[in-house]
Amino acid sequence: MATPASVHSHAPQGFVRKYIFSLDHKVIGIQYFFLALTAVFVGMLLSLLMRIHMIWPTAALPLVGEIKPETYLSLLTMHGTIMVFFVLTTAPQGGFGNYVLPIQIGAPDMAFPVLNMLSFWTTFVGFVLIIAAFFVTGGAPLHGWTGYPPLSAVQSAGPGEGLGADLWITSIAIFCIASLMGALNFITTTLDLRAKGMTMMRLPLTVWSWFITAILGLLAFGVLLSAGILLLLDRNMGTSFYVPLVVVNGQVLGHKGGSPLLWQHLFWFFGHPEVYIAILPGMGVASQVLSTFSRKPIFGYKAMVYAMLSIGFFGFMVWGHHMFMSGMSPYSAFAFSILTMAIGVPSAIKTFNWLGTMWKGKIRFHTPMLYAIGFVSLFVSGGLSGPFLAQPVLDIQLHDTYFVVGHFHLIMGVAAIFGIFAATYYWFPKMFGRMMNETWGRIHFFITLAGTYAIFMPMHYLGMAGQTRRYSQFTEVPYQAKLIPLQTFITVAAIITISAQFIFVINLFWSMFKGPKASDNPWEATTLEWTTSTPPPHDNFGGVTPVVHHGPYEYGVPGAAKDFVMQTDPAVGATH
Amino acid sequence: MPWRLVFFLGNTTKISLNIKFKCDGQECPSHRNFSSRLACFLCAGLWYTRRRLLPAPWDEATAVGKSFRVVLGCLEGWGMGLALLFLIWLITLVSTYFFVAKTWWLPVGAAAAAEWIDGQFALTFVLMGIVFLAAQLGLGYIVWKYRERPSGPPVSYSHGNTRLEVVWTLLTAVLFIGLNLMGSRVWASQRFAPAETGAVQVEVTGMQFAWYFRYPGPDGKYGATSPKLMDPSAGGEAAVGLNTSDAAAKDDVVTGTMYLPVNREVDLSLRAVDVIHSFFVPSLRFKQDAVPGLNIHMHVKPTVIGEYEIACAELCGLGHYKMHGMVHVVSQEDFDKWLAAREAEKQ
Repeated sequence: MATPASVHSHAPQGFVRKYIFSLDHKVIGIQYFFLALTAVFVGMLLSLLMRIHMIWPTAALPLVGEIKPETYLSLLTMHGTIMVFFVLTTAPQGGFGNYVLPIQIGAPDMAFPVLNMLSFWTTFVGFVLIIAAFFVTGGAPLHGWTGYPPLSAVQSAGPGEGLGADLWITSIAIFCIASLMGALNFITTTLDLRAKGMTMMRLPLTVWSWFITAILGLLAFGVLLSAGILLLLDRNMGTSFYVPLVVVNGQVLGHKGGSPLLWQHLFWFFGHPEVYIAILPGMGVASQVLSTFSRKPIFGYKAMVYAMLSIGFFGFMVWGHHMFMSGMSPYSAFAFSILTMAIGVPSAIKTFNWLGTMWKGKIRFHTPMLYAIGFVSLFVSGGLSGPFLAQPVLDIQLHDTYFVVGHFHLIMGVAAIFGIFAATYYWFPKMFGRMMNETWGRIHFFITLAGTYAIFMPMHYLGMAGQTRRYSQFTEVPYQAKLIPLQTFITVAAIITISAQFIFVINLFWSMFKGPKASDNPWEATTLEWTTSTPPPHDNFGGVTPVVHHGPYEYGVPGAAKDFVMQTDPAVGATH
Repeated sequence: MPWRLVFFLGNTTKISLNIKFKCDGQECPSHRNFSSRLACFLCAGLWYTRRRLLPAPWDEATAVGKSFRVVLGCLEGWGMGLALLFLIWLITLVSTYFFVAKTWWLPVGAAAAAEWIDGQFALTFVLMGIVFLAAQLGLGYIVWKYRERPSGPPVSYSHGNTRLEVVWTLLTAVLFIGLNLMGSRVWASQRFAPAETGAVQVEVTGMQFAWYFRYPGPDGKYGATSPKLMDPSAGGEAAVGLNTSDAAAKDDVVTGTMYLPVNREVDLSLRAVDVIHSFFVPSLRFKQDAVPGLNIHMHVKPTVIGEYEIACAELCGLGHYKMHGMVHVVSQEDFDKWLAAREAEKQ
């Protein structure tokens, strides 16, 4: 085992070094977590405003007043961007990955602690910039989180396409840099800092998921960064990477010969792996939690690892399925479609193995387990609409409708969020030394699961009926106006579900200070983070280097003293 | 233990004299009359005795505590398992009901491709529906069936089953890839071949936030257009920048509503002048982005006379939601009459 460049045996004493510019991966993980928590509330508030505007377009809301169609588009752009980058990428990887990965592999810290601190603060700058886009002249951009040029590249194409759009793309570029630094750190740490005995095939599936996510991030964010810089040049320097000769509002602009499809290819080359960046850590957490609370080894550990690897691998070859209707060659659609269907296979293997893990187990219904079960349910529901969209011929009808909105929200939105919730309830005792309230956790779970389905399942019906995305109102298209009652139902469900999230926040902060003290291993789990004290000391294991003797999920081992065998347990009895 | 008794008596007296009554550890200030005071007194006594003389039921160190916890956990597992089973099954069945009842469904198809597309949709829907029901109902069942029970058998210590794994993988692969190949046939017939000869020529131009349709007229040739001549606020020919000095442009007809003859193939050219738009006609099962800088050729054959709505399906700016249009599918006779009338207007 190598040693990190700056293993700091003494914990820093000053407030700034300890809590703000900390090099400790645990503090950085918590910083990421709170950044994502702030971002998710901003993103959720934006979606609430959108839902209200769709149904009651003339309602005068407190603070924001009446929402105009262009403001609605700014809301959806910022909702998508903030959620994808600053929540779904930040919380599972930056937050929990940072906190848990080094402890789970038996390392005292990440491989590059200074780089780690830099990653967080760079992400923070990115977040400040994107929030700033709301407050500049013209407001936030209206081109959607996908930012298709020429709309996103031409300043006169709409309000918000001025400084707001520049801030938006700059923020994303900065986020890319932060994620690249983070990805390097995760990969190096996993490869070099594993404790003695922690072979790759003994890694908890959470570590595998963060590791594969980091590889995806390293390959994907570089492309988005370059694409973003080209977009900035097109916007401000008069280049024509993405913009051909266009006439906007009767004005012939100076661009010539650019290709709008080039951006779509670059964006989705990043964008599709990004979907897996969001969901893979959720898969890892679900596996970990399902095994722990079913008191049973994970079903098909190796199959799970290979499934994640192949999802990561195929994830880079399917970006074209976002572009069946874009005007790219219809021949390429055939290849993209079949590769997309191929990704369904490892995804199905994972679902099968999760069910197999619970099969003949002894399920304990602690809150993290509820969220892991919810994750599986959402993963199935969101996943099965995939094969519709993956067929170009069906995509003719469904592309850019609410069917797509329902599909990706279920699978990469809410399923990933359920992964984050499972992780929060599961590791909260380790991170903050106290237990969260179970009763409120359960109430939060049941409202959220029912609410989630009430919001996103009807969107599939809307999509089949031809309801297009990104419409601020449905009154202008008669056949869509007939669907408004169902949209109203969704808005009501959204208001209830969003309100229920305050239960979570109150529970989180109340438990942080008032919850009952947690023991070192409250869930009777087996991985390394549960062998150390709660919360772990500065160097994670108090000067001791753990030695690993077993696989990560040895539950219910026949002949063992307890129903679980810790990874560090030297006693014989377990086989893996 | 006499000293415990002393404490017990002293404490209960104090409680009875005090205004704050305690009932099983909970304050109950409403107990003010004598009988309720007495009940409270006894209650407090019982609670106190239990606290002092017996180990707390949740104290795991004792055998009583341990079994108490197991029973409690079992009851709790029973309730939670049932709640999960109920919720997951409810969600699954309600969602499936609205699909099967076709409460909201694809609009009635009015083009040649609709039959193929709808058939493929239905096939995919049935197959995915079966998997959906099996997985969700199975999940609910497993969660309920394998909840922790003190009397339950020990967990089966298994790391998986390779044969099952392989069978499952092959099944899914065959299902998904097979489905895909079937769909691809339809896709190829639509997009790999050009429009039939003699197809009706229509050019569709999208701009913020309107659709324009151009018919080449009797000469069968589109006249030249120029970006410099485009004037969206003027509408019609000026909006698409038609160069009226071009001979081929003399008989070009530009309209804001699309007319198509029934049962004839239409050769569409899709263009956009400012940003990307998407020409979506749900009833004709037609959608294609119109991209600046590209001239995209597509073909479609309407088969049912009627009026169909056009919606823009690609975010194009603040007026995206009202970029609406109409397609009128009419008989060949009516189509000819309509086109002749437009030509006459132009002269």
